[in-house]
Amino acid sequence: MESATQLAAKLATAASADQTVAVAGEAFEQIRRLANDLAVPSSGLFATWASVTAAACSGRDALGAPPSVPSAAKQQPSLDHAGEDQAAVVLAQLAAILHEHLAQAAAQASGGPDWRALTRAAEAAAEILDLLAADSS
Amino acid sequence: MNAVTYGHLLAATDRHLDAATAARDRHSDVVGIMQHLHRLATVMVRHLDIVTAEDVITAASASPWQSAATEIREALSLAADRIGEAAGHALAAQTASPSSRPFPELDSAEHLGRAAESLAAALDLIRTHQVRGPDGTIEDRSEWARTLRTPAVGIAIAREMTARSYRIAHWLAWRDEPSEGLPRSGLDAAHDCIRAASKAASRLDSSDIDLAGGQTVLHQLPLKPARIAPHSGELPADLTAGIAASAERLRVIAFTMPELKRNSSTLSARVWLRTSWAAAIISDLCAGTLHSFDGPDTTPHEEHTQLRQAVSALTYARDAWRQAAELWQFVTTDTGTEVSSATIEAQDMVLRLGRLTHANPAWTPRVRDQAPRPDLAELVSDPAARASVLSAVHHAVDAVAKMARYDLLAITDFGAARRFYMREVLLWGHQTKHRGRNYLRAPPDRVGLLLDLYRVTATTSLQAAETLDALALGTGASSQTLALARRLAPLPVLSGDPSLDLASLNERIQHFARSRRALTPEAPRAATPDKPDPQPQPPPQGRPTSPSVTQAALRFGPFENELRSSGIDDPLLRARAAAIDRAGAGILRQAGLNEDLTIANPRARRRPRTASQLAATDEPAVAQPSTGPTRHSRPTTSAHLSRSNHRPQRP
Repeated sequence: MESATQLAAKLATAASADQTVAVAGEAFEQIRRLANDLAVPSSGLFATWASVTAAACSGRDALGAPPSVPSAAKQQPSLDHAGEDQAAVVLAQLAAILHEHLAQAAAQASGGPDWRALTRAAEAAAEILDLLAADSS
Repeated sequence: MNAVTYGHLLAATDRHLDAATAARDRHSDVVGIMQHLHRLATVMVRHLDIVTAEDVITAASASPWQSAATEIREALSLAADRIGEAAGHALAAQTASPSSRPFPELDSAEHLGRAAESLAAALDLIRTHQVRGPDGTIEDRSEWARTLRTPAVGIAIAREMTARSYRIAHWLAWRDEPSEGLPRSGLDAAHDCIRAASKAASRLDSSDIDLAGGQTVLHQLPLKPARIAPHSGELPADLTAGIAASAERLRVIAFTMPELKRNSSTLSARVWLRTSWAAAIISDLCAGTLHSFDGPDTTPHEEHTQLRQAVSALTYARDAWRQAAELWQFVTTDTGTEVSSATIEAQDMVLRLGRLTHANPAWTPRVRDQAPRPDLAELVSDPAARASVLSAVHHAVDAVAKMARYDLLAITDFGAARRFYMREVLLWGHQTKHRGRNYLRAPPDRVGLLLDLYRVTATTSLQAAETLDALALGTGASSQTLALARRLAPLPVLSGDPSLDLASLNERIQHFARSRRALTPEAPRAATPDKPDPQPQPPPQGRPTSPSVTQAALRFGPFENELRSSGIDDPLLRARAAAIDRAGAGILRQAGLNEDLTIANPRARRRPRTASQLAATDEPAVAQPSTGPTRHSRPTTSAHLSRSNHRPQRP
């Protein structure tokens, strides 16, 4: 799976709605996986990561993207405080790009299921951004 | 908790009765007084109906207290009749001489009327927990209904009504003026009836029943509180009251959850995902709070032990809830609801517990609102504040335990209706795109694991709540009503293996979303994730070769296949299923339909399609206009979303 930074770059250069949808689904799943791994009680951001996981599932499922198969040997990320904060920053950036592109795609959709799915996914991205953003602007 | 309780309404009744007594020499609205005394007595009889209804007790099973309560009811009923007749006579006399009725200010009659209204409101409060249906059967509307049926609470109701009937008796001996038209003999008869009720009430006592506990629980019986939306700047007292209110609302919501059953669109995998996370966070915050309460120097030994046990149970419950949340990320339902009453209340509790336990009165799960957990030493040293926080924690943990229990029932029902789905790629390792089978029904063993996990969450959350029961009773926290109610009416033991724990489930959890491998060795048929539809057609190219399944699909009809795939080997059942399959095929042949396709997918009769489309409708789409999380086969174009929507549909 590509890194969050790579996915953000792919989203930013997506040439069509098709590409946006495909990359966005993958991005939501990437966010879900990382947030789920970080949502452990020892984390200072347990509630944050748990909430991000739920929102990422909503976005992923709205776009019909498949979940990735969990690895056999579960690895808990060994991120310290700073590492978690850094992960939050990167995922917030990804969520911001996701929201922007999905909102654009929704605006171009002519209503119906596509519009609903894209709008729901854009809302999920906004929820993730709201949870992870360092400020409210 | 600030919710209106039965005790509040009883107190209001008493205040009006006192006011009526204080004012009774000022006026002489005998008709009004008699009419309202009649109302009061009638409402008392209705209260006693709750504990003496025929479907609650039968003559054969009546215990001594129930016999006594029945006698009290009969006596008060006769008294009410007599008082009603007396009111009629008084009204007739008053009509004959209308000059005797000016009452410009609030008088005894009006106070008695308000007393009757308060008592009727108390009855209505009980009815919010226990409704009598149109056919006369009693339907429980909350967990409190079970408590209402306990002897302790039944006796408490009978005693409360008997005590207030004495107040009526005082009024019956008050006036004795023939000109007012009161029939003395009728009033005396009513008085005798109340005396008989009083005599019967002496038999309500029972040494083996917790009468004090019953009275406390009755007085604390709450009306479902309105939601108190959290806002920043709430003081600790507001936070604890809000937590208790959310907990009570969540208990009621959870209780009605299994009732929603198969027709519910308010339950979904996404809702369960969010409530699971919320429960994990609540358990974590509560464990942290209780841990900070446990000062080695300040805590009595017994309390110290109870705190440690509670923290341990909550930590385990938290881990179980977290595990449940992880599994929900791979499961979906034919409903796409994201938000429900339960998620709202659970989220409110998370916010308030977070604000109570972090150094930020505006704490939220957002990164920017995070704050360190403060030193709670000051809080711990103040007994009142400590009891208040302990009460809030107790309420939250109890509500989560109830939620787990009723979630388990609802999930059982969803599983039985086969409303859980998983992505094919998770179960088969790849996607058979050309069949459009993005979602498959979750195999029985996956559903079984979800249920087992919820048994663990329910059991461990209940253990935590029970440990807190002892603490609440020991410290006199206001949440001790929960403990008393649980003691009076213990929850039935959950079915299933009581020895289940996270460790024993671990291996199954590891393979939940990772392979078509069976999770339970004893159920080998369940190993095959979602058998193909029993359509007599060759497996599509690219489908994993699974000879047994494919051959079964070719050889057997849908009912027989269903049994086989569920691991049911009973030859009699299989023979009956085969007979049903043959009969169905025959009917379809007579109707000139292609029985194979139509049997395989009954919806095809409503929406005829091509064979390939039929094959793709294993889990067809459903529109969710409000929430919009329509699920699709992996989209390659936006327009494709509309055409190939393979989201599971409610059956």
